[in-house]
Amino acid sequence: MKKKLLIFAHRGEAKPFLNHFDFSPVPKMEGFYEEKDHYLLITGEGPWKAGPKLAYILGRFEASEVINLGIAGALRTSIELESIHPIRNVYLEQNSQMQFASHALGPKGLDLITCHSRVLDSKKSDLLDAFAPLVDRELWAIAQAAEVAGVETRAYKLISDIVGQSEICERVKEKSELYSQKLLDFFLNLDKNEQKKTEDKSELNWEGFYFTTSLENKREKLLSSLKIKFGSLEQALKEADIESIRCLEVLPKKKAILLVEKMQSLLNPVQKELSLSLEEISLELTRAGAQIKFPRDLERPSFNLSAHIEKPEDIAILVKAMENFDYLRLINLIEGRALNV
Amino acid sequence: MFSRILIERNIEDHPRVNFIREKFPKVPVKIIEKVDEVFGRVKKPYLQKRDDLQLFLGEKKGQLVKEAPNAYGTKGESHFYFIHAYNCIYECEYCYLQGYFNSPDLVFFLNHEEIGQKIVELYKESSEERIWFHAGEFSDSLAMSHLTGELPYYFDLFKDLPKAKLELRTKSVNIKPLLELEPRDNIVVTFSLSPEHRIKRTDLKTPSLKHRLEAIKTLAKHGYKIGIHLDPVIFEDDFTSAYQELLSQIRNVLPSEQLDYLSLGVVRFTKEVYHQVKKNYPSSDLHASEFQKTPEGLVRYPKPLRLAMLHRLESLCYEEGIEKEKVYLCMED
Repeated sequence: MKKKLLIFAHRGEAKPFLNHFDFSPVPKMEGFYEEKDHYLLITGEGPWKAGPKLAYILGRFEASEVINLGIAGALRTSIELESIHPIRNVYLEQNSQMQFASHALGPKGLDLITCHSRVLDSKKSDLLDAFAPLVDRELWAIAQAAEVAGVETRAYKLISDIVGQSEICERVKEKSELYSQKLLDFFLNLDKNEQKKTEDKSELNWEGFYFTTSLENKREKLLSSLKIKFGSLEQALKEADIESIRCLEVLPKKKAILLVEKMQSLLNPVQKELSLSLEEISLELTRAGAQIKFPRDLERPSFNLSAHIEKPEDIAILVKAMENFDYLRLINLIEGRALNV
Repeated sequence: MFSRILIERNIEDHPRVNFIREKFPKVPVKIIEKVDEVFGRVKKPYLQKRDDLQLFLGEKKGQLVKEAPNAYGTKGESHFYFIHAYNCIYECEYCYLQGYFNSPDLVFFLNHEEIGQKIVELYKESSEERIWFHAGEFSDSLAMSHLTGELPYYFDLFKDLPKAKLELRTKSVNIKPLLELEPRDNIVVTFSLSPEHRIKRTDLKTPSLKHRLEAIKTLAKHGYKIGIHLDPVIFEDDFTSAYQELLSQIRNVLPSEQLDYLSLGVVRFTKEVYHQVKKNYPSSDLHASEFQKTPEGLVRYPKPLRLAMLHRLESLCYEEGIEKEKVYLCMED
């Protein structure tokens, strides 16, 4: 089972977690610990340390998700000191410029800016305040590394200070133990109440069918659209007449193809009708041995024709079929005049 | 309604800014240098507008009036749109604003006089018999007009531009500011309409069809010229009967002499917007629709279906007694 990866910038923040859980250090991995349900990583301060260190760990260990816990500074006095907030979006600041790329971590919470240096002056804090109310030093880099590894990130920040209001370092140092304990209590409560996300992948009975990877991908895509169309997966499969197809005396792969085709025609009945009309229009040509390819988007009344000729009669048959081709009917079809909507 | 108001320093004392601030006395205010330095500079999720919508107040810089793309409005006439706001309070699942600004926050530009000057310049340069100016390309023209308060200015401006037409495009029923003004022949209020069940399903947070029809009726009675956009039309099994009913409902509230035009357009997306629709509204029935991706990067119905829908809608309009010259097809090649 994959474990959750808890991330802290400083050892002090991680200390109560290391004590509470039965973490042991992973050999030759500085600042990296594990226990039965969690990994824990101490990254060091700043995005340059946090991002690469996490990327290295995620390349070697599989984590179910990344959870960053730590302190953040508030840019607005309306935010209560020592309150803990989930982070909604994280932005990045570099050389007093905001970077466009952001990470959306959750639907609720406060936004935060990861800064390349500590925010100590009011001019910079005023500039940042136009974008988000909180600042930290690591989260954006953590979210970036996790995204590359395909792992989701959550973050919870305790407000340690109002930027520019006090001797930040002194205050944080003094209260670091209290903050860390608060974060642990918050996390334990969170973990208890957390509802495990259920995956929406269909667990239906595919006995009798053989889906190649590509057919399975198509099936899942179609099922998700048909579920919207018919209200439930069960109803969608009923409409697709899955049981009749299952009973057919054909190879399992053929059944899978038939089911996917049926699902496609259920989802796109007009496109099915168009494709039948095109088959009908080109029937004589295909009987004459030609292969007809219409443009997929049907934007123009055109087609490609190829044929294998090996004797004079083949040419005569093909010419006759081409002469008989009802091009006007094709135009009408493309112009929408043949569809009864 | 707004979580914060961000105001450009140079318009901090603008009467309209004061008016808006008075309307939202409890909303925190932040003074910024330029809207462009903050708005859209970081990527914000579109649905954040549901519980954290910021309002920016500033002045529009750069091109204030832009030429509209081909087939934007009635054929054979020149069309421009002007930009006095970004984004919208509504949430239509198909809306292209989802992929446009990288931020759902609202922006009101208050330098209408400069926009007006540009309109007059273009008007004077034009030799066309008719020149259209459309408001609401990036916002709803009426939804917030009680706050933005620009309508009297534009009504006054267009009084002296007889060859010009102003279109105010909306889904709102916020018509009080209009009722306080004298209707003008060259100002058309246009409503985007869909069948009732479609509005409920797709046009989230917008007024119901019933209310929009009532607004149309009231404005028409007051003397306004009304335009109707049946756009975007979404295909479904009962498409014909649904639009038959809608057209009949429109005819019941709108006398033909008050109808300026009716435009028809089928739903279409760029692939970027479609991606946003999938992300923001994964359960939308738009994802069970017969769309195709085109090599040009569009997501739309196959051409035979698009044209069949438009032909059918055209016939339905004529059956309802709408004059041929008032019906036009939008964005269709």
